[in-house]
Amino acid sequence: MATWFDRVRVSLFGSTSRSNGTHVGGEGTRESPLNVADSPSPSPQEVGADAVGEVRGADDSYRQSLGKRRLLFDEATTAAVVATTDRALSGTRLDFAPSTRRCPPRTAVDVDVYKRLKLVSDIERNRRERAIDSGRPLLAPRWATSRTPAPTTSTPAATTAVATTPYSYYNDFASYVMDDNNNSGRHRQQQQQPTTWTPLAGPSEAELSAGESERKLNETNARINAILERLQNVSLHRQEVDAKATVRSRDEEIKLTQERVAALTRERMAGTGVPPTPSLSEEKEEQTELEDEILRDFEHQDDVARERYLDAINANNGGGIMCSHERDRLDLTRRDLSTLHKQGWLNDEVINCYVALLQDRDLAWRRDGDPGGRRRPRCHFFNTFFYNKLFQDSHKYTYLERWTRAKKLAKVHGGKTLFDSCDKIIAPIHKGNHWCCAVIDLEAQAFVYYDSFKSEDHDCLEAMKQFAIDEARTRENTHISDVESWPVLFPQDIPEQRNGWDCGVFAATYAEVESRCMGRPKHFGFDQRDMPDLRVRMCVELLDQKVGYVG
Amino acid sequence: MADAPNDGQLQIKVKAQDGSEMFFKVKPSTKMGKVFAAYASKKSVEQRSVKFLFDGNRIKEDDTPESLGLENDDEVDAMLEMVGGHFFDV
Repeated sequence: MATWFDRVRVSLFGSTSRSNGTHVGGEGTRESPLNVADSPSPSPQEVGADAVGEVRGADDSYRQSLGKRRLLFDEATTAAVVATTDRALSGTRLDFAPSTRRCPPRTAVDVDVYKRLKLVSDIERNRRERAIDSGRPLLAPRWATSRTPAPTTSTPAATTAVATTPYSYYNDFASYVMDDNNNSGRHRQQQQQPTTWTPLAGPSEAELSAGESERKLNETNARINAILERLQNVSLHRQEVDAKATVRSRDEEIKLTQERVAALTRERMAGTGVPPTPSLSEEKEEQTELEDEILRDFEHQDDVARERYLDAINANNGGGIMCSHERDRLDLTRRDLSTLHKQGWLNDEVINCYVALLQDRDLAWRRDGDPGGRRRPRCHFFNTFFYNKLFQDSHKYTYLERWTRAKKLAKVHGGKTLFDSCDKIIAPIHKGNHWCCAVIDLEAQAFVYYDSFKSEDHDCLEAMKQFAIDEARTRENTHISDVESWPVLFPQDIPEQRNGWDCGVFAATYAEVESRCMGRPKHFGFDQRDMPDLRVRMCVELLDQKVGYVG
Repeated sequence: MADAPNDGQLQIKVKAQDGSEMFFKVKPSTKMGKVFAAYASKKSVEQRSVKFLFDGNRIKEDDTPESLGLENDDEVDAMLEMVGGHFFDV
């Protein structure tokens, strides 16, 4: 049986190599008729429907075996993603081979959704990068321009007119591929079939007498019209229900936010009325202030910030260096910044630069103290290459030893040794396709691993622990000689990612929150819904080279 | 560089993520951009897609071994671009 949470091998066909459109997969793989890009596309839905059928069939058995696992995506979202990406992936062959991954998959449906999102995201990224490099305007992808299935009446002139208008990814592609806010209603509306129907040509007169044929024809037409009308009613009703559901959920959200704000204000009032003793309510205060800060942040995101963000990630604005970081010697190009677009996968440059900015903020706090007079942890940030080297060189410390010599630290925060001069060591972790965040908390004496999917990578923390042991031994940090016995923590009450592209933003924000509160943060103050805003914020902060909104 | 071979030349090692190593002989005043270009063409990859690090710090094209403080037999890392969006390895 072709196991389902399987690795998918994808071969994208170049525009030149075109055969008869059928490709034979390996044994056990399904052959699917493929659309040839240059020929008029027959109907992408057909391919999709086939693929979906297989997905569903395989899924049933998996649902039984993995009954306890929960779905990350609800069924409506899944169906919508499947339907929308089918068109995008119509020139793509998917075949399945047993996975070699160690990480546990969720469910077959989730895996399928992820695969699809990744493929679409990859294709789109390549297109964007090519556009930036070549300086040619980014055009709408083929699958986005021909949203209605192969209209026979369309002339080539009309198609080219659509294809040559410059294309804004942020506006078009977002409406094309599913958003994380269940806007399945909108999607269904797009998929609505045209309901106009022209009467059929009757059977030949040689077979039937004229009167009879006319009567039969009328009868058939009436019946078909009735069915169409009913269908239309059903779809209208569905839309209505969808719209109602959306409104209701919005209302609920607004009510919740209002309640939260009211609770905050009440606490604030209580705080001003009776000044709390810091020793007793320190934790509480930390929590509310954090939330307050986040809420204030989002208010700051005015139209100007959004405008700058859209401008910065627009591939049609040409290449070039957008901002540079002096100390870490980073130059961010538009290519890098454009990974911050709504559904982009963040690259290492963006993460590294953001982390460098967090280090800058940390240095400012060390130098001048926090303007609000709050105690901030002293942090050291490693870049994304740290874990890569740590992992790659099979936990060999000898190489990394050079990274933390006093001479190197002098360029950053001037500590004599790493562990003497810091409360927290924060490192972004890159594994394959995923960004996480690991923290060595010297204050709480623990190793912490933040994954937006809440997985537990013990190997990673073991490697970090080994690094800490070696580092402490080499630098003779006697105050943490018991580092071997420190616990490894995988916090589960953290904001969770619910799509296939935001993990970089999650990891960066975990690092941001970690580096600004003492002890273990109990409340992060953001969740999946804040991701578009956080992307805007990150982008503006990178452009300004200052983590400015907070602190 | 008293211990360096012939007239001040240094030998530096460029190590890729897969562990493969490549050696270059450079003068202390040679721009590192030349080394990068040679490395990229030998590996037949785009130069832009590879980043070079020395002790965790980025090396720019205008840097020279002298300005970086590179010594004979020092190791430079060549890192590929990393992207990430979700959990599954597809």
